[in-house]
Amino acid sequence: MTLADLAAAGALTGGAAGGVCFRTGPFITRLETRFAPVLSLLVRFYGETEAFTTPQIVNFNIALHRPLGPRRWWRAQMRFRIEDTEPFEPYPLSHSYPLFEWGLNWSIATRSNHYLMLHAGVVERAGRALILPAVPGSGKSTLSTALAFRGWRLLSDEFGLIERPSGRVMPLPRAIPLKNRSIDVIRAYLPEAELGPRFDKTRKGTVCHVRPPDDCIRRQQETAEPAWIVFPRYVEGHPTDLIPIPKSLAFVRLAHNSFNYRVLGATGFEQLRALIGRCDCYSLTYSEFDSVLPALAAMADGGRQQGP
Amino acid sequence: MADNASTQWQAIRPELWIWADWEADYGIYDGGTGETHLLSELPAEVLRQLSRHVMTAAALTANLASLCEVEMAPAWTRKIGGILSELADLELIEPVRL
Amino acid sequence: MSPLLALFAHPEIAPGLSVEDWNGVLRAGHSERVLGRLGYRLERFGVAEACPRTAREAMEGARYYPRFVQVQVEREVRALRRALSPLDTEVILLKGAAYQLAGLPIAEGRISADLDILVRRERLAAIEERLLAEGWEAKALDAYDQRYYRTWMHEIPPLRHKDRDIEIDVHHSLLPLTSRLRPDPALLWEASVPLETPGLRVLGPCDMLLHTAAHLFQDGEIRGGLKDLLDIQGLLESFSGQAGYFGRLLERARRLDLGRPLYYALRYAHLLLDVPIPAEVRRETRSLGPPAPVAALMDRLVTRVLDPHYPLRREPVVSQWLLYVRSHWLRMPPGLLTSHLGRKVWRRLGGRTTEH
Repeated sequence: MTLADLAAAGALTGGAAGGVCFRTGPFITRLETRFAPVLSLLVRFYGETEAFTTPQIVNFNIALHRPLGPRRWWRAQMRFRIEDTEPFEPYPLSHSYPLFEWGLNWSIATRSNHYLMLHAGVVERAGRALILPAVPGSGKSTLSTALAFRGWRLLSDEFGLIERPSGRVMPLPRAIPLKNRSIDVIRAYLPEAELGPRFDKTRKGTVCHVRPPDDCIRRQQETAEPAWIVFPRYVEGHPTDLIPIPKSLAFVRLAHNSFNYRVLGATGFEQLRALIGRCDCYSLTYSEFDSVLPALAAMADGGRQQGP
Repeated sequence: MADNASTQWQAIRPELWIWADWEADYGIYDGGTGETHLLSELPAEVLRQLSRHVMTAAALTANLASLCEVEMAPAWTRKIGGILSELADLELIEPVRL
Repeated sequence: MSPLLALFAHPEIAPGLSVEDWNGVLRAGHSERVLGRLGYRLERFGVAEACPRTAREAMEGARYYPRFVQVQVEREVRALRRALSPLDTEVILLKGAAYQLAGLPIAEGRISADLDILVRRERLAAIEERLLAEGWEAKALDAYDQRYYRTWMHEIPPLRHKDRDIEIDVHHSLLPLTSRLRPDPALLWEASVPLETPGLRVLGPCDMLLHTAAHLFQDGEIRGGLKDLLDIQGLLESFSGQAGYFGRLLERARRLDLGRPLYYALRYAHLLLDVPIPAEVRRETRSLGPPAPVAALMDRLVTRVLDPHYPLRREPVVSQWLLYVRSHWLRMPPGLLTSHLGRKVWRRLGGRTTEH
């Protein structure tokens, strides 16, 4: 049973006041809302995800409700609640969907310490994962999107979930939020990609989500073996430059690009040490998809990097 | 911090250290503080020695000079002294209190 | 009894819990931030493996933050000892740091972001001076709050080292100077127990419980109280097996003038967590409790606040407010209460949180 099936059966008309329960990667999310635009986008982006009609033990109990009182109608707002807490200020009603996505990210990041969580895009090819840490200026979301439609399976554009004890990467495929210029870049480069509505004047500028390919949702419980860690940097006009970097440097940079490395203490250190040990580590500067995508494919299809 | 050559130095809870070993660099997780440090060869060797024995700065400096096949000179002594000072700031080692 | 409390009270029921029960446990556990503690407790009772995977992962994941904070607390204690070593004075660790360094089971998975210590009043100035000299800073407070801390409460303003995150609260007595109840610090020192580390002590087993009871039911706010109720449960489990413990506890409560908090502690540990208290002990402590109508009111208020049920927190705002007012009433002579409460309310509405 998928979300699309539920919607087709009319189970979501009139809102999911009783809560709709669905899979988000390894997690089960329950969303309670009467606001139809959020539900319709949920079904549009995640139609292929498993939905549950029998009781499940839920990881995230999320509610999106409009406030009672004047802010229900005047400069209308939407409030995000996880369990018993409202961690953020209300958003304008028109930004309800980005609020849901961002709120779910926050919920995952603050209570999933049974994983080492990297702030990274992750894509997979032939069972092996390419990890793209999200340094500022990396263009990681845009790059992840391009890879997702050109020969790679998207595991996540935001979270590299490294599980214990296997050290494998858990998928968490979500609608990819593109911002500002990237929206037009992807629209031009990937005409086959389906884009959702534009949300203007959010805290991050203009945001537009890419619908994740059906395949990556269907295979969202299929883990991958980490193989490459590539720190990307977008520099306008720069040729593609993929350079091996020392493991010690990769370790430090990745530790800084993790949601919970520090809190995990010794466990985090050991997990990260093991991850770096298994992967070839590179620094990447790029500007053109037509150049960087073949370079990454060649890296993936080539042999292992020389040296330790 | 008393910085003279006869000050005895010891590692702070080295049983809580976890090492990572890469080429010329070392990572160390210190369970006593929750901090992670990246060290080059020489500071790593200082820690390794102090985790095995309490030592004076003078003895340590001499050990390392012979290990690195370097002359015992004031510059070397200052270098090791500087490393001891930094490692103490990171709460990895401390002077022994009498 | 909500599923979360039921599980803390009777870990052996874990294998029999329904999906709905587990959802209740996880929701409340996340809200109250006690899932780490729950996981350790279920492990101790040998039922952790019987829990569903989602619950096990949530409880495992919830251990890391408490463990991380505890490492920082131990680090702070070491720094404190180094800073105070010239003074050759002893310090009594209180609450979380005490449980942790004394190796008590209730420390497992427990979060306490502050380091509370008890020092002798005559050494307070010297200690404050040493800490400020070694890089600790007083929390930035306006003149009113500074006066509040120094004159009316029982501590100097909280101190935080410029390079670190843990706050040290230095006390010289358990309750504020202006409180109607004045447990004599000399008695606390007399009964205190040294730790292996020189210079560090913890309260005696009876005083530990009485201090937690005073903290939950009299001292300051009663918010996040479930954590303290769990401390009371845990301390009773650790100590009540000692011969004559309850007898000593009652005698001690009378001596320290903490009979009322003890009444509440034992009553609610028994009522809400089924902690076994011998009937004659319960009879004796009843005489330390308030008049019957107040006792009944407190039963209703405290149950609402400490027993997390869903849907939650829409109603108990009233209950919590009443308890908050009550605890401040106990703390300050009547004349002062309104002006201070007024300021605190203003602060709260202004959007600045004073809690961690």
